[in-house]
Amino acid sequence: MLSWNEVSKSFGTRAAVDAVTLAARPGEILGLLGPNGAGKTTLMHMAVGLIAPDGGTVSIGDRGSPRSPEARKALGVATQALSLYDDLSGREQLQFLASLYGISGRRASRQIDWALAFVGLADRAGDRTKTYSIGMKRRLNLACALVHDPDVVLLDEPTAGVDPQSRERIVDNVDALRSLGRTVIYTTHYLDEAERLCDRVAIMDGGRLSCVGTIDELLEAHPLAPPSSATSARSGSESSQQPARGGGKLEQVFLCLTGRSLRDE
Amino acid sequence: MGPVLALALKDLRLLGRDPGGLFFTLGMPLVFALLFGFVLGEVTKPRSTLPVVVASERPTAATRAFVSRLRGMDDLEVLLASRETEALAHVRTGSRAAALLIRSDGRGALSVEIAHDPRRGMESAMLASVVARALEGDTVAVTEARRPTGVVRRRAVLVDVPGGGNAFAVSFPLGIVWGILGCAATFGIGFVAERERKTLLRLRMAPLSRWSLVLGKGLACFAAILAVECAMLALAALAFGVWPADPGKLLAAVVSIAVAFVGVMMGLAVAARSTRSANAIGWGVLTVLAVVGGGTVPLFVMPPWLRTASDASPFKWAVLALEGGIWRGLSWGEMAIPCGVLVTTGVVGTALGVLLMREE
Repeated sequence: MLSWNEVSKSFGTRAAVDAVTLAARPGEILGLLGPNGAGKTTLMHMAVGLIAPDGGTVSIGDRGSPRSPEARKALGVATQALSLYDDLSGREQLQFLASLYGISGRRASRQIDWALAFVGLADRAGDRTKTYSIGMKRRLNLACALVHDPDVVLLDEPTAGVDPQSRERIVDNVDALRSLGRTVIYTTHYLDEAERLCDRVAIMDGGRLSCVGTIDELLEAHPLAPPSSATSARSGSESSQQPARGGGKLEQVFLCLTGRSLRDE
Repeated sequence: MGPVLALALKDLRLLGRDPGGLFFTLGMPLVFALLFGFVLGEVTKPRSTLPVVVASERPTAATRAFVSRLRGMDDLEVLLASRETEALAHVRTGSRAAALLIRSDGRGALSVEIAHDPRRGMESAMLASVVARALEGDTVAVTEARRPTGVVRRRAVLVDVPGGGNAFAVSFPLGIVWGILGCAATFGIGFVAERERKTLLRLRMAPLSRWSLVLGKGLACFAAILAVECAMLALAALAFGVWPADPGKLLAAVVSIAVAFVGVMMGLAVAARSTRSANAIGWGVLTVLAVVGGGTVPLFVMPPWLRTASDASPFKWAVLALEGGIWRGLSWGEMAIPCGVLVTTGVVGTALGVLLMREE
């Protein structure tokens, strides 16, 4: 559905993404994990056409390059930064975005109502976004990614900084997207979320793809990851950057593959 | 609804919900127009009674006849002083705008020295012409103290306005362009803020071409500028009697100006990397452009090099275009120059905006 084929991208002399080949299958949730600076965001930006790869290709199924408007209509993106207008209401944000995707009239109303109900914001849809909590803004950000009914949804740390209730709701929403047949690319530093949600996980480090597979496959391939070293690495890194958290089995694999050194970007 | 229109409506809706931005867009032009109007009205309108003091220390038949003529003139409110020092004291203390010091050479010829309050130089210049009228037929010399250049010329232009111009015919174009600067700055800063808040990122991920995105942003600014211009011109006509001499040319001016300042807005968005720098550029550089373009000090009192530099300011061309449609009586050929410069400014600025999108 979404595939990166031998894609590379450098910024100056630093290779942000180095010859990565990866494909998300239709209807699956693919976790894209890695420490800070691993190249996840660059890979995501190439997927939505914000950055052109130096080498290789990105394609959205049979719609081709994400730089084409047709391919972009198949993509829904919830960026890590909350891309919301404070002085618009939740409903107005979605109406505006629906217009950009060429959706209007009854179809737009139906889609907006569905998206608001899906993320649990129907009751506050008329309130301006600046009155929303962080958790509500995150959920609205997710609704923004879904309002035009995309086939592929890219979620970049959709639960960052939210309260447990909103986090639970967002995770449930993402899980529901699978049952609706959407393909989801999910990046997070919360490994328990990835372990709970993802059908497959891809781990990146230093711009390269370290591994990809189901969690069981990864555990099988990396059986020697010691839990104790994982714990010490976590406590050592928490003071300076967002660490990989939770997800006991996956965290062992993650630390085994990416090591314990700090990744200051 | 097309994406371009959706973008424009979104920006206008956001502007409507930003009281500060709304004030700078719609309120400030009115403040400027009224302020300039009242200021120019005071200094350029011929006063019905200009208060002067007249002194003739050695009266003769000729001086008495001349003073009598002065007292009979509607333009003047004459106070007589027996000595020149007394007359000058009236001027020094500000109770009279000028002193007319009348001297006779003993053979019937008069000389009149106008000693005016330095702060009332413009009235003194007008007084010179009034005195000249009163002296008609006499063999005299008029000596003007500190007569400022250009004042007479400006008065002459106002008097010659087709359709009966007034001070607000001069002030409203200035006020409108000041307001448009505010409007362009508001939208430019909004564009930069959109980049800073990452909402621009979402727009760039939408199925829009760069041109659509830039046109959408530009359309909102264009519509807001048109609204400011139309509201101000309607107010000028209905409340202050400023009717355009040529509505067709005024329309050309209004549209050209809107195009130009959309380009200025894009240029601001290109130059500024943060809302802080956008604010600095918006209210710093644009103000300099306005001042250089004659927004605060009339161009004719500027040194020649600054008058040449003013050609680079869209402010100058915008004011000229508006005046061309309202009272200057410019021909279509003459209007083509300011309108052409303005449209070119708009096109170049918009192209820069598109390039910015590509760079990002």
